[in-house]
Amino acid sequence: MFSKEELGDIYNEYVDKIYRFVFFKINSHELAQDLTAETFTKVFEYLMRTKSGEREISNIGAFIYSSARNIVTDYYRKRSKAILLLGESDMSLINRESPSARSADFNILQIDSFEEIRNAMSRLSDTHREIVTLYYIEEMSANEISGIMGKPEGTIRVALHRALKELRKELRSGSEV
Amino acid sequence: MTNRDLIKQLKELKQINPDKEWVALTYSKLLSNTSISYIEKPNSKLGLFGGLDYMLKMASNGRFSYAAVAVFVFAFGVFSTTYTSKSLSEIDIISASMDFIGSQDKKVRIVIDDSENVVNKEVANAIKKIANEAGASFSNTVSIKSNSDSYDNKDVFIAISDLELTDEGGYTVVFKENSNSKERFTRIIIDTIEVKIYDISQSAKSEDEKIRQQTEAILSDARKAYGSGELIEALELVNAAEKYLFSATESK
Repeated sequence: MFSKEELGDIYNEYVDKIYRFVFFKINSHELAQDLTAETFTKVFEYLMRTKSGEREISNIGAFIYSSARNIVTDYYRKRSKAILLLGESDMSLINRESPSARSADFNILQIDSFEEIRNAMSRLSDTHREIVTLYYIEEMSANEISGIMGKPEGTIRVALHRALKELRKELRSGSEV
Repeated sequence: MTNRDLIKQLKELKQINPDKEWVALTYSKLLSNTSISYIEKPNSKLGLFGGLDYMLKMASNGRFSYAAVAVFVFAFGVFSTTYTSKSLSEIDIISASMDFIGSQDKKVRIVIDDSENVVNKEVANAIKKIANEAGASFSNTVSIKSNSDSYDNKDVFIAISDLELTDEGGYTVVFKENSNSKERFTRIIIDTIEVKIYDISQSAKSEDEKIRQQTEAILSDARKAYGSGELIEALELVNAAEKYLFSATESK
């Protein structure tokens, strides 16, 4: 069973990472914070239930990321009308930058600096965006990402290559507008 | 754009972070929320050290410094004449009270069930030690006398500016605000809420369905308030549930 100190360590280590992970899926600062909080709530509830002798989580990081993925999925499911109408490849349409992403909480310089790349990211498919986030922004290995996404490592590498290609294309088309 | 340039841009996105205030607030809410949901066999015996420590934290919690009056009732229950021979960490906390008399000074009322006349200098010194450790400053030392003869001439050295003695043998203690004890102080409220919810819920199980349902309804509100970080409201609801259960069972 985890002590509160251990939970605190886990939180400190992963809170920024999970926030970014969710943010790049949702593209909303406020919502990313809400869903991140929800992720840790569920994770901690689970960890506090774990007793010695029962199955322990071997990879806390992967567990937290997986939980965050599920929570974002649940969030989208609640917006079921959009989900039913759009395929996965069209998810980027509902991930377009929302007004809340430009909330006063954000450093304006950050927004301006990152706007182009963020816009391009938002036009990727959900899977590609996730892989790019985990690999390049959170600097995880393909093997770690494989554990989180439940896909073979080779698939992750191929998807990574395709994601970068797609991202370059989006940036090019964005600059041409 | 080359892959190299693109990757460089992507890595810069790591600068996007959540609000620091949100991070801290979420952290405190998370730990308290987690605790209340998953106590399986809570230790209903909060250490005396923990108890007063928490009360000091409570008094120091800036959040409450703006409250006109916030009243909690804590009491140390002393259940046996062999209390003094027990470890001081085995005191059961039943309830506690706190009055806010100003933005700086807060009164913490410790209601001690002294029907067994067991409060003595040892307890008083333990309280003083805890107060020290929790960061209370000492401006005065006074003698606290209870109605019981056995307690005469026993001194409790705690920083107080006022003293009230309740019928139950309570003592009002004023703690000066101390920023070091701010975080720790919330713990007493949190633990008290958790313990009481569990105990009340367990007690209600042996009652008839109507009493059980009504008690659980109040506890459900308490849990919601607790989960939202509204500790004062949660404790008031918990106390209300306790009062209801007590009066409902007494009137049977």
